[in-house]
Amino acid sequence: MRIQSLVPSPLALSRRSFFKRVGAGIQGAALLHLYGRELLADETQSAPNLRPRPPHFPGKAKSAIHLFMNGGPSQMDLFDPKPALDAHHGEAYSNKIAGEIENIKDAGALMRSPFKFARHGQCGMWVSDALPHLTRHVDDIALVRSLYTTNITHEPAVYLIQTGKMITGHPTFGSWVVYGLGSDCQNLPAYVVLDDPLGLPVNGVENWQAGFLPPLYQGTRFRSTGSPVLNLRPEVADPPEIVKMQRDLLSRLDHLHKRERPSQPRLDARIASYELAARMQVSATDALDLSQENQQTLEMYGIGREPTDSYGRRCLFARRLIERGVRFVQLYINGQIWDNHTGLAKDMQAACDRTDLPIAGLLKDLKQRGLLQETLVIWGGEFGRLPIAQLPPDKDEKKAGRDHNKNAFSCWLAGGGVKGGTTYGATDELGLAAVENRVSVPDWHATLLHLLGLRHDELFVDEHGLKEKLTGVNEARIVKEILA
Amino acid sequence: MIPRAVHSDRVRNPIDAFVLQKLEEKNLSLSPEAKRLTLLRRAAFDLTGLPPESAEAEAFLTDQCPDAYDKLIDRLLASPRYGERWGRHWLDVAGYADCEGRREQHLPRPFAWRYRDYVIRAFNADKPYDRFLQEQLAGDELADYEQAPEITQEIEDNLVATAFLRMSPDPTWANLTGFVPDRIEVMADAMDVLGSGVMGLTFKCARCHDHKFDPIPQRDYYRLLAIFKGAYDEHDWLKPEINAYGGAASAGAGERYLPYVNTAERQRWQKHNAAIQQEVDALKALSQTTETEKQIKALEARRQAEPRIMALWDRGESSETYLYRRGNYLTAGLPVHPGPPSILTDGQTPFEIKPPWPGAKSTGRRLAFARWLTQPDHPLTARVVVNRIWNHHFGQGLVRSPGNFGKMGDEPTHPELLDWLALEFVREGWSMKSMHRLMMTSSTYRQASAVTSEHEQLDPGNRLLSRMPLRRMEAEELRDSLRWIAGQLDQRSFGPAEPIQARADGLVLSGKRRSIYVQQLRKQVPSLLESFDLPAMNPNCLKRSESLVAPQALHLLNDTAVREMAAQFADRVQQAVGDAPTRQVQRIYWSALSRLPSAEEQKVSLEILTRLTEQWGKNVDISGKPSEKEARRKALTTLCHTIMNSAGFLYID
Repeated sequence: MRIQSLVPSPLALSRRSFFKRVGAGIQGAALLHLYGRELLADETQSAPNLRPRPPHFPGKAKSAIHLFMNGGPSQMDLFDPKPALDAHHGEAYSNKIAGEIENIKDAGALMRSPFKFARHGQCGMWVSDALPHLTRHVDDIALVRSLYTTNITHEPAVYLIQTGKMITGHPTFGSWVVYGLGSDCQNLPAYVVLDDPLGLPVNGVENWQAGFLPPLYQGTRFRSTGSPVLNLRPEVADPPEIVKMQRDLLSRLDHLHKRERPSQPRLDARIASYELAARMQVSATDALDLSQENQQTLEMYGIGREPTDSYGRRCLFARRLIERGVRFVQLYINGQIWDNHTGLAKDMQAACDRTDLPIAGLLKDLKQRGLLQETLVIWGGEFGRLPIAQLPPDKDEKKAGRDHNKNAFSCWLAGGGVKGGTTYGATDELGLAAVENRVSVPDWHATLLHLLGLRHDELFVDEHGLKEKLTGVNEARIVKEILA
Repeated sequence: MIPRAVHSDRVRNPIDAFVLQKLEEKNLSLSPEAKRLTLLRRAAFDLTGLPPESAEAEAFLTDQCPDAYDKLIDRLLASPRYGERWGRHWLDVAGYADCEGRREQHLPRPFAWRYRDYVIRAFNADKPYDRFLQEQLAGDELADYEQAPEITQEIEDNLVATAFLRMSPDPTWANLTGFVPDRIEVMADAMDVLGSGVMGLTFKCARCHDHKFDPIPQRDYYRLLAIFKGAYDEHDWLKPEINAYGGAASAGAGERYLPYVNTAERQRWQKHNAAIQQEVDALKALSQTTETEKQIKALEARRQAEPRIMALWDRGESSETYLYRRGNYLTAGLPVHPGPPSILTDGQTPFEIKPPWPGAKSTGRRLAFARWLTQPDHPLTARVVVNRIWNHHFGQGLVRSPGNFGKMGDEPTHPELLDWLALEFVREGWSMKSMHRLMMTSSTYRQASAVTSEHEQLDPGNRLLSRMPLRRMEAEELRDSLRWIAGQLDQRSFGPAEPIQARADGLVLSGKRRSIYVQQLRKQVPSLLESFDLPAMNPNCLKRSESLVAPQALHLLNDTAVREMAAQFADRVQQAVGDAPTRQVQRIYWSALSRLPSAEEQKVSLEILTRLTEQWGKNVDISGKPSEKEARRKALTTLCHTIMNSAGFLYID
């Protein structure tokens, strides 16, 4: 694999002189931050690693928070108002789009949105009343209404938006980012996943897999309760004196081992990795310790009350992780709360109620701490929904929902490098398909990478002779129009 | 053609002559020979994936004959553990998994283990590599299994071997992902495994266009695909069996599963079920009570599912193969005929395809291809496998991109040596074990791993092989060795995989068997193995990575299973040598590191052991103050646990 090509050239200070100068123990570990790139940058052993790597060019965003809205949020009920649906409400339409419907037997007539739209912010962005809190932040948001994908089934569509391929086995977007940039924080995983304690999304752990990249680029799940990382602490802890003695013994034995084997940088790195592990025990616990936050902050995220507590916590964890230098944080919600085949008015509102305030809180908090300008916040799901109704078995229109739609969906970005207050692209008058300034999934991925300082055509790995890229072999366009 | 080296005293066999020639051009020579115990540990891990057994170590250390080391290699090669280590390398190439993949639910492959066992047995028996390939590519065309009066082990093996071509992640059992393009993906993965793993060519590049760097026109990709069409036909597709969803016990007559296990096994199964049937019939003849019903139920539960084989077989005819423009099946181009890549043929000898036996219901395409691929003078087959063997022994291949011998692959570091080894391999009857013996008895392999400043200056990347590389244990070596020294390794061979246990918090636990027998699921990889770089099979893995990250340390330090093993290791040590600390420390080193501690290591260990015993003695917990014995046990456990975490244990010189 051509991971080598991404390893930066060694610093002027040579490895030998570095280790001659640096003594054993914690001093070495403290310096690892500064010389992290050097520690393993042995041209012979370009081991995969998470040390920071320079971007291809200075990106505006240094890190990213991905708010994955699995299930397929309905664009014409959230961000893409369609007055024509009000006009044509109740008219038959399904026979014209039969090939685009997953559950054809449930297909109803064109359906207006049960939500009311209004313009918000200085920019006048249209947002429905399902998202009252987000409306306060539209001037920081670039909304894309013209995304489209290629499959109407959850699994392949989720694979596509996450990995650029409709099949499993390819690295997720987050894996590519940490493969390309490494991490500024060695005390925490580079790519942290905050999944919902209530359950995993469709495709489960494959949503953060590294595919054919080495496994260390995959996402690490942080649990919201108990110990955040697997095996962060033993189930039954030893007394502190014993822990100290054991560490001391290990360090002394490893240094004796190393002394017999000079010029083996891996052994120094290994000793450092044990020191990092010890610090990760402290850092990971600290990162998720919300008792350090004041009441005002907790309320801003909706923590301590329903239905926002759970997602609010994850949003606040995300800020705390980003603050500590984690490169990529990804948030999930259980099951598919946006998959509103029926009961749109009620169920989609419920999905909004769980997430709207926490997300608004996150944007506000990032901004007031000066973090938003170098953090990319990504909101979106795997596809959109149809303008026609999907009816429940009893054909009760009051309980109608919407079926999957691959031809149009809306996503938004905020933060580093994003032109706030932008609404980009358009769908047809019914919201069925993106027609103006269409954005494909590879275009979207290329844009996200660009914001992080990575060129999509230069971020690759040699896999069986093929330069595998997130954006694949087809042309991908950076959506310049939404960049600051 | 074998060069003459200046340092001829170091030439044990021609490998050394080739290596020395390059070293001497830079005024380097081979490093001094590694210490005897270093060699013992290195060889044992390389060939068996486990530390040397103590009897083995003693035999080697007391053997004063000049060929003691050679005999050691022979003994290790004869060990049944050898096939479990080298079989795993091949399973990486094949992309082995116990489930299909590419769907939310992963359909189990209830009989895949037979292929895993076949591979292990083939390595242990030193099956010639040409035959090994023929069986895996065309086993169904080697003998008439349908008309055979008896299914011999050989016939069964032939069929089991073809599962090699069935290892692609396969979603085609599900309605939504069972269409022609999904099927083509499965075939493409199989071609990728074959191309990169066996032929060292990046065929997959030619699926959509002519290869950009190697002389492989797009037509050749489809000609290769046509060879497999008799068995792999996207328009006449056998699906993985959904009834098998519950696993082996409920496996029905799956379309992809053949019933041709060897006659003895089949009869055992028939007899077993017949005996049950007899008892059931007898019970049914009696008047029915709740008691008899219960007995019948109990008997029925003991019925065994029909033994079957996961296989790929030719069905005698196939649809036409077309070149797909841009790789898109909707834009079919001209039809193509089956044939091997044109660049690898002389352009004159016709590729002769005939039915494997008169009246065979088989096209014979894959057999013709397998024979073509295993001709003694095939330019790639032997080179690719010899390079892979070299890669596993020396940390890097002579060609460092083992799946790409093309223009974009790495230049070989020693092209003449690679040629010579390939010829030698074929001369020795395609014997893997002869190749191990040759490589491992060379002075090149027997070098020390110390890096000198001269090395750093003149051979920084070790491309000249001026020393052996230091390496970390691979995931399976680590897991198996931890269990081994704790006395917790179940060494039973073969059979259905040992199930893993996925905990709600994400930790995936494995049982006690060797890692190769642990269920290989794509989504639930045992956490220890995953932390230490067990690769995902997408579709296969030609070169493993070695990462070094803090979660590895966290796992070894804090994982409950590892800590339990440390206690078990400590108990074994105590049982073997009693309470004398010096002997305990020596025993720990000997078991875990296959050597005795240095004076300094011994001093440090003893000193901390005393302090640990004192400290544990002072530690009052809910069960009160520990007895002296208990304190000693806990201290010894902490020491054992520390050794299990030490670089000396994890790294092999």
